[in-house]
Amino acid sequence: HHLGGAPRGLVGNGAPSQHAAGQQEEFPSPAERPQFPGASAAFVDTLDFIQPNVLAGIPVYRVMDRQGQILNPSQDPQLPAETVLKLYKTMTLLNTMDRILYESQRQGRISFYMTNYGEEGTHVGSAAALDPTDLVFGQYREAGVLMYRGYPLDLFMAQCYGHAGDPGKGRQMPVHYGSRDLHFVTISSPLATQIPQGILSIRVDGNDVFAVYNATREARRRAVAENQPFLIEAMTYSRSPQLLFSDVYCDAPPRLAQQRDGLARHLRLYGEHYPLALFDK
Amino acid sequence: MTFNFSMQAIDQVINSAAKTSYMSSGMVSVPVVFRGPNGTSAGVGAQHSQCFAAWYGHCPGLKVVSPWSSEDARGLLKSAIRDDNPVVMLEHELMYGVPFEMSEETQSKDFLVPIGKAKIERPGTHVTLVSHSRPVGHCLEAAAVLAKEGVECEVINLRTIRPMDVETIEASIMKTNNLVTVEGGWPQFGVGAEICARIMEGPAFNYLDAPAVRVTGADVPMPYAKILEENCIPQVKDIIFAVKKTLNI
Repeated sequence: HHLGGAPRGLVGNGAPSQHAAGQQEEFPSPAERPQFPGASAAFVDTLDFIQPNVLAGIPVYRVMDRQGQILNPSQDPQLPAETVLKLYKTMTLLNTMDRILYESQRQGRISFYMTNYGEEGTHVGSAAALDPTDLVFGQYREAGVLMYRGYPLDLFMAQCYGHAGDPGKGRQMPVHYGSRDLHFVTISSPLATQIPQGILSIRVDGNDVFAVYNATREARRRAVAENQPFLIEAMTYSRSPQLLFSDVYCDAPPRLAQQRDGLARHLRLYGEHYPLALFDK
Repeated sequence: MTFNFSMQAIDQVINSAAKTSYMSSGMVSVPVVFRGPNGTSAGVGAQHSQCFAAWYGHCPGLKVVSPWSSEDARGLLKSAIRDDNPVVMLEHELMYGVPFEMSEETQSKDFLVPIGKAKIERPGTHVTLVSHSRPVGHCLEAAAVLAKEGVECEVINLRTIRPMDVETIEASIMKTNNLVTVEGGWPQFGVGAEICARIMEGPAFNYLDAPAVRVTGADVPMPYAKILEENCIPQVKDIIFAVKKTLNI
């Protein structure tokens, strides 16, 4: 901000200028930075249109490689076995619940369902890194956080079916869970129309639960210490079924093809652990 | 996507579409039609069940239409496209699958339903029922039940919310002396409220034998559970009750 007259700002070497309002600014440094409010950039004297894909994207932080081996030992959060088992169990339970409830929707037993496929790692990694009393505002694919905190399966069901056992009293569509006891603010499926700028950010492999854990823990520590927001962009692959509102018997479900491919990939990597000789190919 | 999502772009509908002709003193026209599903659906909860007739009907510069039958939908859409003004066409989500008999004429190439003209779906003598969109069908069902008890309802299908055809309503009230409005939207500042105000401001007021009654959606965000949702939408029994209350029978 400046109060009338010439802007006071930083000269190229970082030293604040000392000129009174109304006088012409001098630029002793050859850097001669522009003083446009809200934009920090250098001047350039060649005419060049920037191509959209020329600048490198923000790199993606990960701890494990695709085979689940830790790349850099210093990044291993060294969680106790019991915690790692809980992470794994929650991710598997979430995936199983998703399959059952998604099929419920396809059979017309509930009107709506959003699966969490591809985001299991993001949910449990971040939930594990937060304190149990930290307030969570989900969008509508954050059921893994609630599950990690111990929300019982019958309450997930009660909300989806909208029956008398639902603490939300049947007011909301399925997957709009909430729990005051578990500090999870009731889902309302918000849309993002105005994204704030200028927040410290990191990009993380959302399928890497240790990377999500590390990033969340560090972001939380600094957010509390420095009183500023942090943005974690957890990357994943969109695997949600697109058939939610289409006719049940129209198409063969692509998820079966996905399951088959997933199994084939898994067996290629870990086939030696299975008694494959006992089964036909 | 339904009109519920139009709230993300409502600034453009009102400030870029509705007001542009006026603000440019008529030099720039915005001949666009915004059409989509409006009103209640089935089990989609609070954020996906709102009726926007009152919201868009409030704004000068917009035309707002609300079809009930297939002929309404076809004729109004054609008229809307041919109109140089921005038109909001509020189709009812639950009416998409409902078939209607259509005459040769209504299926012809240039069949138009004029914007700003209501239609008397059923003539009557004892009470005027004014409605728009899906509730028109409920009014006709209520009229059939009431006819067995000797009460003949005149059912008016507004077809256009803005500009509203008050003349047709007034002529009807001067004949029947009683008014019941029926809509799916919320009561406060709604379509029924506007009809009541306009009737009071015009000649038909002197012909009313009783205060007008509004039948509307319940004044709550739409709940999800089926039994709760059913009780938040005006039903045939609610219309019958309102008629009997007005006629004091």
